[in-house]
Amino acid sequence: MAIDMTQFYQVFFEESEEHLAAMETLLLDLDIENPDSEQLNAIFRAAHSIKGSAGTFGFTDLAETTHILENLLDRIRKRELGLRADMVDAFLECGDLLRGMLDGHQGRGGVAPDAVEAICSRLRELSSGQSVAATPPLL
Amino acid sequence: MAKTILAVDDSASIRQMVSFTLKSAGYDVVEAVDGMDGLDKAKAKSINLVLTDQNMPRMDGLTLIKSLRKLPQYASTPILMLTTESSDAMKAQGRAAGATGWLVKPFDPQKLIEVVRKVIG
Repeated sequence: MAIDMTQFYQVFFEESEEHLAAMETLLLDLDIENPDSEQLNAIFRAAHSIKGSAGTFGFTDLAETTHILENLLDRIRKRELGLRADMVDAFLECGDLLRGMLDGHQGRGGVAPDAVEAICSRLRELSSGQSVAATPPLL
Repeated sequence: MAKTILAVDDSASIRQMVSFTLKSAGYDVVEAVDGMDGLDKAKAKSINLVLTDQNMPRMDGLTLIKSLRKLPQYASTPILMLTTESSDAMKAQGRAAGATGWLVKPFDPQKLIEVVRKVIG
C-alpha cells in the first residue's frame, strides 16, 4: 500500500517553524552562566523533534543539520560541556538556516550550501570540545 | 472488530502519518500528544497496542511504559517504542521499563504496517 507522504508536509513545516520559534525564544532567555535544565531539555527536544520528523518525511538536509545540532545540545544538557555565548550564537544562526531550509522546501528561497556546511562544521567543532567538570556550587 | 492502537508522539506530523497509515490498514487509532495524554487515554479506552515516542514534554515514553505496566489491564499489552534513539543503552532501558520492541525513526509507512501486523495481527 503506497501512502502519499506529501499530504503530511504542511503540518511538518508548521510544527518545525513553531519548534524553531520556541527554540529561539528559549535560547535568548537562557542564563549562560547557570542555564536552567528544563530550558535546555526543551531546546534539545525541539531540535530532536525536527530531526525525527524531517528524516521520516525525507528532508535529509534538515535531518542531518538538526542531528549535528542535537548532538551538541545533548552534551550541554547532560552537563558534559559547559554552555558558552558562542554556542548560543551558533544555535541561533543554525535556527535561521533551518528556517531558510524550510522556506526552500516550500518554494520560498532557500539557503546557500556553503552556509550550511559552515554552521555544521562550527557545531561539530563546538561539540568536540573537551568535557568540563561541573562548576562547584558557590558557598 | 478492528483493533485499537494508541499512537503517542509530540510531533503532529508523525501522529498524522502514523494514524493515517494504520487507519488505512484497518486499525482504529487513538492519538496522544505526550506520555501524560497517552496514559489518560489508555485508562479511558481499551487499547490493543501502544506505539510511543521517547522524547516528549511532560512525560516521556519510558515513564509512560512504566506507568502502563503498573495497570493490570496493560500488564501484557504490546508496547512498541517509535523513536530515533536506537542505542543499546536505550534499548536496555526500554526493555527494563517493559517495552515489547522498537521501530526506529525514520521509518516508512509500509514498515510500520508490517511491524504492527506481526505484533497484533
